Amino acid sequence: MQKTLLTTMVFFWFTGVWAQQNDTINSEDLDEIIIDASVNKINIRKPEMSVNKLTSEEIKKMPVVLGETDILKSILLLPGVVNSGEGTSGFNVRGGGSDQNLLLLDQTAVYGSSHLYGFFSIFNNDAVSNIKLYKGGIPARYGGRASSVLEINQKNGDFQQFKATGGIGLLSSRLMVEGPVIKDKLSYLFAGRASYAHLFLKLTDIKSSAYFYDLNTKWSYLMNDKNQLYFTGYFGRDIFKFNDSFDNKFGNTVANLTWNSKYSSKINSEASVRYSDYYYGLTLNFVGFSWDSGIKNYDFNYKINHQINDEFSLKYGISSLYYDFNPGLIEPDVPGSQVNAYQIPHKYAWENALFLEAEQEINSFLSVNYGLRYSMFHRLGEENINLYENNKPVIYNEQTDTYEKATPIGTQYYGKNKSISKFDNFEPRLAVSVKLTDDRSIKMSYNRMTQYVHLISNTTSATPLDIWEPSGPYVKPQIVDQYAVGFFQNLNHNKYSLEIESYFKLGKNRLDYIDGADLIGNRAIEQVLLNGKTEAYGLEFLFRKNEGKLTGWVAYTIAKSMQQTAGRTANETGINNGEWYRTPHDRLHDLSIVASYDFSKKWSFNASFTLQSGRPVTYPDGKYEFLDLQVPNYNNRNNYSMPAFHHLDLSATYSSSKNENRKWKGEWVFGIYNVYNRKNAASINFKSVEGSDNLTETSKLSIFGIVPSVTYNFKF
Amino acid sequence: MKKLLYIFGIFCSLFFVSCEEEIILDFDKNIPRLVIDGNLFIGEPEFNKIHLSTTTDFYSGVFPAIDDAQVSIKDIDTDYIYEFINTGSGDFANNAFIPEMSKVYELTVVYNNETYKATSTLLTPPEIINVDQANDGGFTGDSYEFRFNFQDNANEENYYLVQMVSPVDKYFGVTDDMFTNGNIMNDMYFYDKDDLKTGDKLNHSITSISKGYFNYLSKLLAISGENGNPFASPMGTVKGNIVNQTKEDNYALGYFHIAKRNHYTHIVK
Repeated sequence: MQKTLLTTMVFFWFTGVWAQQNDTINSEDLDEIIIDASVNKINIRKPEMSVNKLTSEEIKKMPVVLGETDILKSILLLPGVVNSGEGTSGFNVRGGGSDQNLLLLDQTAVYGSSHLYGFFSIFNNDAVSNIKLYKGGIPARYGGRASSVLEINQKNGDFQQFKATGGIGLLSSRLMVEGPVIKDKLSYLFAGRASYAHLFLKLTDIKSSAYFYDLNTKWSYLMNDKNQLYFTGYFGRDIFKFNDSFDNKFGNTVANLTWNSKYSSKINSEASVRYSDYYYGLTLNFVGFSWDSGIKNYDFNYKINHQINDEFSLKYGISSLYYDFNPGLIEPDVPGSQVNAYQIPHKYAWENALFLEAEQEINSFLSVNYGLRYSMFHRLGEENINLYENNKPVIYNEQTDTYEKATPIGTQYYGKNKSISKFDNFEPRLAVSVKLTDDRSIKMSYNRMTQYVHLISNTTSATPLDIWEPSGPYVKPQIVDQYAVGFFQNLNHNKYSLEIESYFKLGKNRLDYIDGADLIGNRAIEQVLLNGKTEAYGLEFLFRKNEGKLTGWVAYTIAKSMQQTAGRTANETGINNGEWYRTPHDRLHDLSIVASYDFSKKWSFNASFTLQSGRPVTYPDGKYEFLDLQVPNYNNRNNYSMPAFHHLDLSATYSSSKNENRKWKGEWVFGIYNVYNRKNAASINFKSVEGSDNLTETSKLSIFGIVPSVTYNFKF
Repeated sequence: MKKLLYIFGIFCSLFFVSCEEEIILDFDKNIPRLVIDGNLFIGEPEFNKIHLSTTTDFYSGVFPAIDDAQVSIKDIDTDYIYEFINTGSGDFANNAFIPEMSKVYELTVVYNNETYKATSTLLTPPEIINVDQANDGGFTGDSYEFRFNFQDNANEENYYLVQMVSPVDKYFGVTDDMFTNGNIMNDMYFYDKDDLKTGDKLNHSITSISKGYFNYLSKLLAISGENGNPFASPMGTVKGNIVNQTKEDNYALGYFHIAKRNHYTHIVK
């Protein structure tokens, strides 16, 4: 009934998209590709490791589903980075959770990273100049997340002349314009992207729409020799509307104003004010219910870059971040609705940090980057905090061996801006580079990262409805220590490069959930949370060919990622009987091969291949009957792996020879995702055989088969 | 509320699904464990019994029944013991057992020289006041929509177990009043126009259950894939309220709970 109806409905919508894939054109952008060996060769001397950079050109070249260029999918091809599979958002770095990545769009934190419930990322590659992923050895100027930092740097608009690029694709069209307002002084950039899947929905004669759009802007003002002002803006929304029954909107708003100032030839400063807002709204008219949730933060940052001499430089500064969390507002939206209006009270927090980072060349072979970050976190009122017996919001039921919600014994009121809880941590950072020869070095790093906000989610990948919870009386900050060592070599005059790294990570205060915890609309989330530990280690190889007609890389990672939630006392069993179990992002093997071949001026070809161990999954060890239901009996969490995940993707780009002599330059990109039509498992389901009282079956759900695409890109 | 999240969960998860195929997996061997289905609905012969069985292999088509056990229920107030007699196929019944509202009862099962015990209290069920039928419901606006309305008690947390038996399917579900305390609540169903016709009977029943049983059934419904909250966290073994008094580690699965249901039949208009 409900299920069948919905499945039909959703399938209907999907076939619309599917038909469109096969009938129309799809979009991927490809500028002329300038292979510059200096971009990819390793800086042997610099005390920086576990960092991967990709330029927007490199990202554009990678073949992707439906030809939608995708920054977050491109980093999955790097060693040590995985995600939960096709059609899921987020990514996992070195065994960390997807909420442990700090996503910075021009240094401003972004919370929701996907369009279409995870199929595409919110970052429009046209507006991006490059990305930089810190997997380890994270400098002291960054903090707030436990696993990684992904910097996404937007382009500055052109200061000389008006330019435009764009593309017409299967799912979306894009246009980016840039140019000077005042030549050599003030420039703008606007980039927009919108999907048009809703057009096809309308053709199916349903009063429904499903689409997304996003807008990026950047303004750059070179005031004088000493001062520059930059403004970055982003606004994106996903909108799904079915009939008058269902209305779902979500997306980000981001703004950043940065003032760079040069005091002397050795000292310059960066001052920024930033705003980031993630909104999620859902209206279910047919049940008379609406839901709003989200997170807002306001951020001030001041940093000084101080070049003391050629061998020694300092970066120091402060950062101050104010959070406003909206865990959920529930309202009846039609008269006579059975739902009571309820606002789960907002939560507020203030995160401050001081940091000092030094980079020093000690002698001809040794250089170091060392620093310290001191972070402070205040959970602030106004809020009523529940009080529990023995300070335990979760109680253990010894009879059923399960954790249950405790009943509060009272509440304590904290007034506006009154401190509810306070945490502070020293986060030391260190990276050392030992040059062995001009082409070869060994690097080591250590970093401690503290994360004060926690994502309340138990799905293996991020969903748009994810809710953030600040540390407070019952939730402690996550702390992760990472140790890494690596060997780096440039070969054959930088034509090739080789990076081998090994890491070990230990984490504490990772949230785990009691069995069957209800996470959405929960008024006292602390009643379903337990504290766990994490451990991850691995070995990564990255071999790149940086020059020539054929460029690309081979990346291989062998890794392990585990977690444990033990009982708080000897009588308690903990989660999974207190034993260590594989995190959802544990992948033993992960191989990526990326190749790009410039065949001629007209044609170039790209390929990527991914092979990964299957995602951990829990299989039942039997079944039983209760109340006419067939119940699978689960025992140990994540005790099996799904089938191996692999696919090969190809694309070919054709640029007309007419392009050379005219302003309008066009190109066609032909792509095939999943060339050999691998049916990768997105999930495995255990269920009753329809119409049978005693038979159960297992089924595999897969998302993308072979997906061809065609895109037209232009610039003028 | 659970249902609503469920609808949304399905919506998200199936958004782009293109292919589902049956596969055969290689599981660990099942070690049989006692399962006690002690869900009693008073006055309903089909449910006024205790059913004993064991766990079985996932692909097996047979749930092995247990007939060689002693089953009894004690009225805690009077200490009177009702012996339940094996009637075959793992069922144990006693027609003289007619529990009373608000009283506490204790179940005892002796099997393989081990004793299992659990208790339950009978709660007063709500009644269906009326049914709203719409013929333009659902997402697409062309489904049947039925709302079975009942009054929630504002002075307490309430937990409900509902069942719908229609010509095309059977369905158990649980709900609570977290978002709807004190209101006229509704238990809502959608049916395709093809599945029902005018004059068809929808047999609905509702009862009040304990918070413990609600938690238990929520988990059970979720993992059996029939219903449940798609945002709930993954689960290990779901243990009920039955305790092995002889050897605590050798726990039994299942639950003991006594309830009185109110039935309501709606004739499709």
